[in-house]
Amino acid sequence: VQHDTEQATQLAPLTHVARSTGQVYKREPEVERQIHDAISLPPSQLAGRAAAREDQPGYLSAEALAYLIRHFRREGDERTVNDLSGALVRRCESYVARKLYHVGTALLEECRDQVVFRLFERLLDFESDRGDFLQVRFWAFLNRLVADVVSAYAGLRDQIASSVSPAWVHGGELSEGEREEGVGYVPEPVSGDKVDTALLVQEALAMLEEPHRMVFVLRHYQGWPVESKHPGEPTISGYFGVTSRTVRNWLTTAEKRLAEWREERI
Amino acid sequence: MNRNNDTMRPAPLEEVLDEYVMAVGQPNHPALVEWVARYPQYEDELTRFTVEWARVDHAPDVPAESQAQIEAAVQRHMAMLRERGLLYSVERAPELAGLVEVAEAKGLTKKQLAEQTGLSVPLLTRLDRRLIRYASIPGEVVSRVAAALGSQAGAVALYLQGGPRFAQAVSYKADEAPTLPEQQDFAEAVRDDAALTPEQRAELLGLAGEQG
Repeated sequence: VQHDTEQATQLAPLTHVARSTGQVYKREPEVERQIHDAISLPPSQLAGRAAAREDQPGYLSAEALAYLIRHFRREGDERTVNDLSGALVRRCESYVARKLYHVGTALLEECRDQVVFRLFERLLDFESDRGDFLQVRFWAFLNRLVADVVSAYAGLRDQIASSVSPAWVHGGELSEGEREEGVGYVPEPVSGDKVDTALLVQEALAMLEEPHRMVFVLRHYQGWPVESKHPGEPTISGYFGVTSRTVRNWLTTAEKRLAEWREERI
Repeated sequence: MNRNNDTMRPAPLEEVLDEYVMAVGQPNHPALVEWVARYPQYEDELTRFTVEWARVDHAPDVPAESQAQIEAAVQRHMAMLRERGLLYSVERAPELAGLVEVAEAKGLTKKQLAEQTGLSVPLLTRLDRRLIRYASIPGEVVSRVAAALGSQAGAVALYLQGGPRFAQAVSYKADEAPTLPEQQDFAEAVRDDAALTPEQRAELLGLAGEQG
């Protein structure tokens, strides 16, 4: 039901203070405008707005929906809380599924459940201001949640991967026997044939297997060193617990496959 | 909340990760080194998180799920959120036979219902016959009617969203096809209603977000 105008013009303030800046989180002006526009609408109209796509008039951002869900929970209007929550979940589903695809079918559903549960646990927490982030940068928060859930399931994911693929694919060190047999051995990079990372697209990365793909992303997109003389500096070899030679082999494999892919495309 | 106290207490990992994502925007090694230096107690967690963040950030494009798959996932997750107590089940509001009918069943006349809700009898009748576009009806009016009828606001809202109804006890000549008047906006109906006092009209127009 419609709520009075005074409530609609005074949005509940954010209170969370960022440690690094000492500043209170702040909503985007556009988000506040959307909230003001939507908060007094009759329920049916509000549900319609929540379902609108970004290119449609009256679209409500996820940050605005986050505010409105909390607002109607405070008002005790559970029907509207349900309607808006359904709209928000619907927006997240395919995004989360895409981001979690790499965990594999065995874990996908469980990881998806975790992300949605933790999202709403945070969104509807009225005991603290932990939910403020969602009204400021919703999709960054969702990414953060996905990464966190993936991180928690990483051990299990790798265990499943190792049961279906040889060690050199999932990231283990080669045994002496495997080395001698040439399993997973990749020659040193061919000089002058360096992959132009600027031309690489998602499609190219998608055809790489793990850990080649991840090692390539860390090295070329994130700027991680293979190894470091500085103690405590995160390195690729340190992270994967393998020698720098193995990391270089993986990188070479990745670069070689990407070069082949590029040649095929041309 | 005291900001100084808040920022001086030891940082929980969850908060550090929130701020890390907020401040850095995209995962990258220099930022990781900086944040590990700032929170050495979370070196492992920050490193592991950054790797997974990069993985998620560079997730390969996969075929989009079908609408049916998405809908099934939404239903499953909504049920899960209810099961875990984060959302509450909302019973489907019972359908109302009509505003006036429900009022009469409770012993209220149309005039009494109009008085209790700050409406005129003609305006109430138009609402009862659903001759006013639902989207234009102020929520406050829906709430008042629901309160007077002792019904849920959702049930009244649901009723008002139905199609226009013929007037009760109206007979038509056999060779005349019955026609329904077109729906109008609430504000328009208020302006046209001569039975409203100037004060009532101004108040109702105010609720509809218009000047009296």
